[in-house]
Amino acid sequence: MKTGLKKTIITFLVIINIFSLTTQTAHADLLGVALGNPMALMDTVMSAFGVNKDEIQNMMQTVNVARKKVTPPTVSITFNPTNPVPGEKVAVTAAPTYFMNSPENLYYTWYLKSAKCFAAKDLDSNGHEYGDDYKKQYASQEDFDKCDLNGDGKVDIEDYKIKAARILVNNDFVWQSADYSKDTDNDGYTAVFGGDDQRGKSEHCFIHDVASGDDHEIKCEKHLFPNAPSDKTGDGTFGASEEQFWHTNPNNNDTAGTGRTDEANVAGLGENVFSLIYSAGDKVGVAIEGVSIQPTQEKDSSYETMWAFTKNECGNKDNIGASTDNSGYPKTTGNTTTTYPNTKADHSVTPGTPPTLYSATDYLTTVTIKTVEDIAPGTSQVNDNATIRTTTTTHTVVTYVGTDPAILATNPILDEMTTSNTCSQLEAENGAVCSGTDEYKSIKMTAMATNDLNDCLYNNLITPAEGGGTKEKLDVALKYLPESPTNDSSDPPADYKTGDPKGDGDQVSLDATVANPNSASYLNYTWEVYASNEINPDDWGTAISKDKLDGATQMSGLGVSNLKFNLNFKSTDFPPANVLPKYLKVKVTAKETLAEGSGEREGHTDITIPISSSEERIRVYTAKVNADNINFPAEKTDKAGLAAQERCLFTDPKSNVKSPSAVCEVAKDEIIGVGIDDGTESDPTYTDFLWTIDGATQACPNDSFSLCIDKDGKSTDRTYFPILKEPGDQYAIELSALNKKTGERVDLTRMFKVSTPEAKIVPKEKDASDKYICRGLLLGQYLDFYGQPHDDRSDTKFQALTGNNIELYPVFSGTTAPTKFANATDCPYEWTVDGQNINAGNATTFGYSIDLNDSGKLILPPKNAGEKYVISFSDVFTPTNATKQMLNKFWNITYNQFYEKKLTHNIEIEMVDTTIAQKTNSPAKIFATVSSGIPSYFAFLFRIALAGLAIILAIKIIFFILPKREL
Amino acid sequence: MYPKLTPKNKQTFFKTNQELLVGFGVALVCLFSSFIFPAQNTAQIITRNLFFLVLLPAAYIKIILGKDLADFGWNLENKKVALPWSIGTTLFTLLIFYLMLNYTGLKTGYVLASYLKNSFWLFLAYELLAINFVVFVFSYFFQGFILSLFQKEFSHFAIALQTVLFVLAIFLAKALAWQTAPFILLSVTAGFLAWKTRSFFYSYFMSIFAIIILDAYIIYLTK
Repeated sequence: MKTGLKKTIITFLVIINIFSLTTQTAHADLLGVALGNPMALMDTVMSAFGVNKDEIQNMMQTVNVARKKVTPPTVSITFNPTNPVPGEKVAVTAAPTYFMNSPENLYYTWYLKSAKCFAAKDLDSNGHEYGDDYKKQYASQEDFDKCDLNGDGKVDIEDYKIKAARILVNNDFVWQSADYSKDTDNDGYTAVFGGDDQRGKSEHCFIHDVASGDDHEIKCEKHLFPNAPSDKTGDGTFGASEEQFWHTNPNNNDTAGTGRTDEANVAGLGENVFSLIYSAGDKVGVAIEGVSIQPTQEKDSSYETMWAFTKNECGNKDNIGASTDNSGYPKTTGNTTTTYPNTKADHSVTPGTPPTLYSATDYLTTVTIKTVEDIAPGTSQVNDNATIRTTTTTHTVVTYVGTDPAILATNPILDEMTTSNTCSQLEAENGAVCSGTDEYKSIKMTAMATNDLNDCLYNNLITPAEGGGTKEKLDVALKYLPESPTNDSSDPPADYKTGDPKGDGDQVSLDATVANPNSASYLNYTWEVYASNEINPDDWGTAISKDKLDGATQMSGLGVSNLKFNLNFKSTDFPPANVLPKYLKVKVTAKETLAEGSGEREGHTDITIPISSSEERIRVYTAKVNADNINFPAEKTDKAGLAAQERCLFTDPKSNVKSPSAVCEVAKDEIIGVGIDDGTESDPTYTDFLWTIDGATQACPNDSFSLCIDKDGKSTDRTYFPILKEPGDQYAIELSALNKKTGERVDLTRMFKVSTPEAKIVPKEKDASDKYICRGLLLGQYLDFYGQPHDDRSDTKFQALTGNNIELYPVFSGTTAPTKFANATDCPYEWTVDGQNINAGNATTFGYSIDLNDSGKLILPPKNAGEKYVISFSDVFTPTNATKQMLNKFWNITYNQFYEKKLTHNIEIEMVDTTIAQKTNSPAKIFATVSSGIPSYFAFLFRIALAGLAIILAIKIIFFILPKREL
Repeated sequence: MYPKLTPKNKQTFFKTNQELLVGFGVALVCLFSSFIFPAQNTAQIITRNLFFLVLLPAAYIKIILGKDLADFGWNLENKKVALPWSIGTTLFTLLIFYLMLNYTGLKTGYVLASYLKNSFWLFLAYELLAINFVVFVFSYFFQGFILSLFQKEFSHFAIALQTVLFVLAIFLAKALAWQTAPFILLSVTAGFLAWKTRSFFYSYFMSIFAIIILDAYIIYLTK
């Protein structure tokens, strides 16, 4: 029975296995692969799940170095105010980041270096440490003692910490009068590495290597807190001596009022703001202790205790001061040689193991062992730890030292090198021959401690300027007027004097404003002007020099926030192209010097100004007024005729060049026509005209005003306007037009002044040979603004040479007069010569003549020497009837409002037969000048004497008439 | 004794007082002419004032009245009376000036040119030439000529009369201001001194002295 049961079971199992094998072929394959080749198994699994092996590798590479990319704790410092002046209170705020702790659990070790304190490890202006000679920087022992706050005979970072801590914890407590004989406030505090919230955790202090990204563990010896002499901050006791040293209140456990005890305040617990009274040259730093976001690799809850510094400059190899990387490997030890007399060894049997020694007479065995430790291949340093592989090389030499020459000849008997090394566990399990297992250990070379971090603090001092914000850029804004400035490239007026504007170009005025200066009064401005034909060229070129900017105001200096210059450029000002620019770029740079040599703030901006150039001007004419029409004095096509009739042109007496007057004088009730040269009728230059008078739009009432309105009812290149204001008032005529060819807008202005018309008799002074034949008497000389003397001649008394006709012109100011009269009745001038009324009709009767073709001038024959002419001129200025009709029709001027003025002038001409005197320094003239004044006083005396005599005579008569008094 | 002025004997009054009335008329004509006679510059103005306020009244006295100028204040008699009264009047005038400076607007209203405050020599020239001339001319005309004209008939009321005339002249010249206030006071005190001493010279000296002291004190206060 039992045997049958066994057979049955066996048969059953065989059948099951047969079926299993046939249906699970794949599984059997996997199993086989796993058993024979694990990597292949992995490839197969990954392929089955669609996983890209290369991507996995890439990810793992990233993971491998992720640890090095972790940001260590850092801090940023801000000063408020950003640029304090000496004596001003400054609040320095530390903002820590990448700490695990909340800010109130961090330790802030502030330190303050004043300008007068120097330490051996402070850096001078060249960046070198003062060294042991630092004491020479002190002017006196007293100055040194003021800096050596802990009285240890040296000034160092501890003194800087003490200075800051005292300010923090004292809170203006009057410690000088406090009683430090006892301390009743129980204000001790026990500090914990890594911050107040790390109590109970193990201490592991680290420093971050910025270059490699590794964190290196250092000894947690001491915090960086400031300490009183013979006391330790953060030890839980804060006695009277510490209270006195730190200037705290022995009866108040929180002198600073922070909510923490005095000792905690000294330790800097949660003290993220440090307020001080700034002195020139003060530098501030802070070291913040806490735990980073990086955990340790210990099997506990600890994180890496780290410090953040002001400039975060304590984490590269140089700062650390000691090498903690794997540059110490491979390490070679050993190479020790041991000699074994009467010992022999045979070849090693086991690979990797040295030959076994055994006794043998007359044989000498020398064994040299060398051990090399190195980072195991395929591994790398992790922080301070690495897998170390030890390779041992054994050199065995056996030599025969006996006397048998046959054996001697075979020396060395044995010379064998065997090498063995440790290997990883995996390799050993895979059958590798190892002398042992690789060791995972710390490869830290030196024992750096937290105290060494104090050396970093010297490099982490900053001034307010370095603290950011003080170097904040100045915010500069720029604006200009006018909006569309126009350049005038015409030549300067004939009477141009140095310093006057060279032309009629607009004056551009630019104003710069700075929004955020520390002191607006001490801003230094620099202006630069560039020109280009493009609005945004790649290169604006060099700035235009000041002497090429007409009328430019000061372009650099303190408070020069405004720039003005005239747009009177000529094309020759811009070589080599000699083309007037279309755009100007004006750049203004504002600079502000910070206090105490902390550098300067700067800001700049620029603005592009489109400029239009035009040589055009508004031309002025006396309108030709008919009964039903007002026109220009010549047809539009008659440009020469129009040019001849143009008013308000100044003619240079020397060059005879005409240039427009700055202000055009006109008379009341005149009708003036103004216009511009608009090219030809078939191809006009301008369009879109807009005329304004005193800012108000000017439009002609109807087409009685010739060519003033086009067929579409729009303004044209001309307009007319009446002079209705009183003498002394002004008109401003402006024209805005669009140049069809260039697309530029031109803005032109012409000023008018209403003048009282006057007339003068002006003799012709020179004959054809340029010799004076009639000239006003020399009254004296006057000096102009430039100190140049000019003759001052009479305009009523003249001398004329005998032998020449005298030609007298009526010259009008404030109005114009015809240069020609068609016939005698058209000439309204009235002359009197020596009492005789002379006009165009009767002049010849008296031997005189009036030239109707030359402004109606009067021509007199010469008299004998010594004789005189007494001449007067008279004319009435009044609008013509046609003008009056138009003024009444279009401008409602009534008949009693028309302006009328009698224009008269009188002169006297003395005939002389010698050259007219032109010099002023003859004695006769001097006496004449003196004597010319005396007669008026004598005349006065004569009059007053006469008056007195008359009074006396009258009194005498009265007394004579009155009855005599009875006595 | 002088006849009373009644309607019945108006003619007698006129006959008796014709010298006074004609003299008063002459004084008005001289005063009036000194304002309106045309003068174009400073030299002519000075000449005009000198002529109408000094020379013409003197000519009237000498030529028309045939009298001595000494009878019209142009003398230095009564020295025994003049000295104490001059001193007393001067002190009184200065006292009044002091009170006016401290209790009225005289200190701010009486303006001296800045060049006088800054230069002693210019101040001296101003006082000894300009002020001296003005004070002399007006002292002679009012405290000499007019006062002498009135004091025979009106005794001490003549002081008030010449003061009223002086104030009227200033008023008509539109010069009634703190600038002329010291001169108005002087017309009273100097008029009193002239009446007392029968000489305009003492009043003239007192006036010029008081003005110099006043100007110097004001410069001291305001510098």
